[in-house]
Amino acid sequence: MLRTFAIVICLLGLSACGGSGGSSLGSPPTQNCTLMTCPQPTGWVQGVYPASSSFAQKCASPRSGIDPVTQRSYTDVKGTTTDENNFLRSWTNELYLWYSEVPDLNPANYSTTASYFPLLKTSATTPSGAPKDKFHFTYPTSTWEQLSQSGVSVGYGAIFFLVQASPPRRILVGYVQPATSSQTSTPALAAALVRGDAILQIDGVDAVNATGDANLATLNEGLSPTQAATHTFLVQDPGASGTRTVSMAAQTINETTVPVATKLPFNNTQVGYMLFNDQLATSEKELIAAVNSLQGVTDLFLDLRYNGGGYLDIASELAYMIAGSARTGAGSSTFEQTQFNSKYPGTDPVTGTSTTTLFHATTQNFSVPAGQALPSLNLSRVFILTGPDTCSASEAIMNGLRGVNVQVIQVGSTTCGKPYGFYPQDNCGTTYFSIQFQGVNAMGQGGYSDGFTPANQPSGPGAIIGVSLPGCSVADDFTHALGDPNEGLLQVALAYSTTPTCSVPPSGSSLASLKRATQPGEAVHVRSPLREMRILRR
Amino acid sequence: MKAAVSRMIIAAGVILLAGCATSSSRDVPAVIVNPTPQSRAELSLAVQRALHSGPVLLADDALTQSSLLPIDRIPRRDSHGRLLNGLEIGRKPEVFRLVQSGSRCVLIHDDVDQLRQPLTATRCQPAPRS
Repeated sequence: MLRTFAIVICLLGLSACGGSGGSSLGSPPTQNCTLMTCPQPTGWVQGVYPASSSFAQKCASPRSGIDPVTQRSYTDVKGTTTDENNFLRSWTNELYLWYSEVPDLNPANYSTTASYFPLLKTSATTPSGAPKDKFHFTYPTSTWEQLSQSGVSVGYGAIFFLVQASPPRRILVGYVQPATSSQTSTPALAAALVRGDAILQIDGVDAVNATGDANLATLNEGLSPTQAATHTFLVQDPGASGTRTVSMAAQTINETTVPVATKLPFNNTQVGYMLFNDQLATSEKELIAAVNSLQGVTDLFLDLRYNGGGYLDIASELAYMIAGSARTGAGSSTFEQTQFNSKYPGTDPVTGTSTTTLFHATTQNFSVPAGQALPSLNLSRVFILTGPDTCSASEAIMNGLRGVNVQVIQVGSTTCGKPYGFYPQDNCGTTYFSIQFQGVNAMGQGGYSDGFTPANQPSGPGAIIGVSLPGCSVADDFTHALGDPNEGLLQVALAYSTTPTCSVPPSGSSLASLKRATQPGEAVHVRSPLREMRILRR
Repeated sequence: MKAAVSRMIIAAGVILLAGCATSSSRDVPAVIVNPTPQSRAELSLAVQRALHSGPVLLADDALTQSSLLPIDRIPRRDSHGRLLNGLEIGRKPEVFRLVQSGSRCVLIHDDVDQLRQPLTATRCQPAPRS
C-alpha cells in the first residue's frame, strides 16, 4: 500500500507513441512514449518526452547494498545526472498538474538535479500575487520512508511557535500534549509548560537576541534535537514577572490528535468545542470518541488552527460526523473530487482508482475496524477556528462541508491555501514532491490557493485574502488555554453564533502582545524535535 | 506412487485450510498485557518482518490499549510545522491486528496476505469492547 507509485508506469505504458498533450502557452505538442514504442533517448528534443520509466533509477551515484528501509537490494543502475534530469522532465510532463505551464529545458544543461528540479514548475501567480505553486520540494528518501506507529513520535510533548524567528525572537509554547491513561507524563508536562510560556534561553544561549552560527546551532538543537540529550530552558510563564529554569530530554510521545472535546454551556444550550490537530490513522478512533461525547450540542466550534492535514479519508469521516446522514446522502455525496492534469480526466493515474472521495458514513480501518457506522452531530452549520497552519486536508473539511450546503463560519486568520497534493516519487535516493492533483467539492468549488479568509479581514499591504467565508478575523490568543471560552478565537466565534457580527476580541490586557501574528509566514512552529528542519534565522 | 503423493498433497492442503479456518474462527481481538522488553522486541521484529522494513518506531505501550496497530511513514513537516504531504489520498497505513487464538497471541498483518505471526514472548487477553 505504501508503494503505489510504480503503477503509474504501467498506466503510462498504455498510452501510445504520438499522443499529444498540446500546450496552452504555444509550446510544441508533447509526445508520450513507452519503452516498446519509442526509440531509446539519445538527446533532448524539445517537446518530445520519452516515458519517465526509461530513465528511472539511472543514477549518477547509484545506491548499492541493502536499503535499510525496505531491507531489499537497491535496484539503481549507473547513469548520469542528465538521466536523472530526464526522469524529472518526463515525470513532470506526465503527472504535474500544470505540466503545460512548465518550460521545456534541456536536461543536459544542468549539472545537478538540485538546480534543474526547481525549474520544473509553473511560474504563474495567484490573485494575491503569490506563486501558484508554493509546494515544490525534495526530501531524502531514506528519511522520508522511515516508519513509525501512527501517532508516535519523538519529542517533548509540546509545540513551540516562533512568532518572530529573527531577533528579537519570540518563541512561545503553543500547546502541550495532555496526559492520558497510557501516557501520564511527558517532558513538557513534567516541566509544567503551558500554552503561552515564553522561551528566553536554551542551554544558556539568549533565545531572544543571540546571533552567530554557534548560538543558532545551540538554539536549534534545543528546539529540535538531533541527538539524545537533556536541554535546559529558561521560561517565563504567562502573566509572570519572574522566570524559571526547566530541563527536558526528548522521548517517545503518543500524540493525541483530538486533545480537547468538551461541551460548553452557552445561552441556555450546550455547544461543542473540539480541538483537532492532526489527521492521522489514530484520529479515526479519537474522533469517534469525541463526537460521541458531543452528542446533543447545538453548535460545533471545530478548532483546526494547528491542523496541517493528513489523510483525506479522515477529513471525510469527520465531515460526515458533523453534517450527518441526511445532508450527505447517507454517505453517497461527494466529499472531494480529485482532479489530475488534463491527460487523466476521470482516473487517478497513479493508483488507477476513482477520483471521488465520498463522505464516509462508516469507519475505514485506520484505527477502528472497517464498516462500523460513524456517529454524527447532524449540524447545518459549523464554526471553524483557523490560522495559517490550517492546511491541506483540514482545509478540505471546510471545502467539503461547503459542498453539501453546511454553512462554514470561519474565525481566525487566513488558512494556508493548499487544495493540492502529490504522490511523492523516489528516484536515486531523493524523493520529489511536485503537485499532481487538486481537490474540489460536490459543487465544483476549489482553487483556494490563497486560502480561506474570514469576510471581515481587512485588505492592505501584505494581507492575503483568500476565498471569503462568513466570520471574523481574529489573531491567535496565546494568553488562554485552547477551549477556554475566553480564548480570543473561541470567544468571538461564540458571540457570532448568536449575533452574526464580529465583536472586538479580548485585548488580553498586558499580555496583548502575545497575540499571534495573523498573516501566514510570520510564525513557525516546531512540534516534533528530532525531526524538524532548521528553523531559526539570523 | 504418483497418485498416492498427489492424494497426500491434497489431503495436506485440506488439513492446512481447515487449520486456517479454525484458527480464524477462534480469533478474538486482543491487547497485550504486562509488556516486557522481550515482548516489545518480539513485536518490533514481527512488524519489520511483515513490512520488510528496517526499525519501526513503536510506543512502549503498543497494542496495550487497542487491538489495532497502524504503521505509517513518520510525518515530516516543513519549517512552518505543516505536513509535507498534508493531503494523503490513495493509500492507507499498514494495519496489524492482535488476536488471541486459543491460548496464543497472534499478530496479523491486515493485508491481502493476512500474514499470521505467533508472539510467543507476549501475554495478551481479549480486548475490551469499545
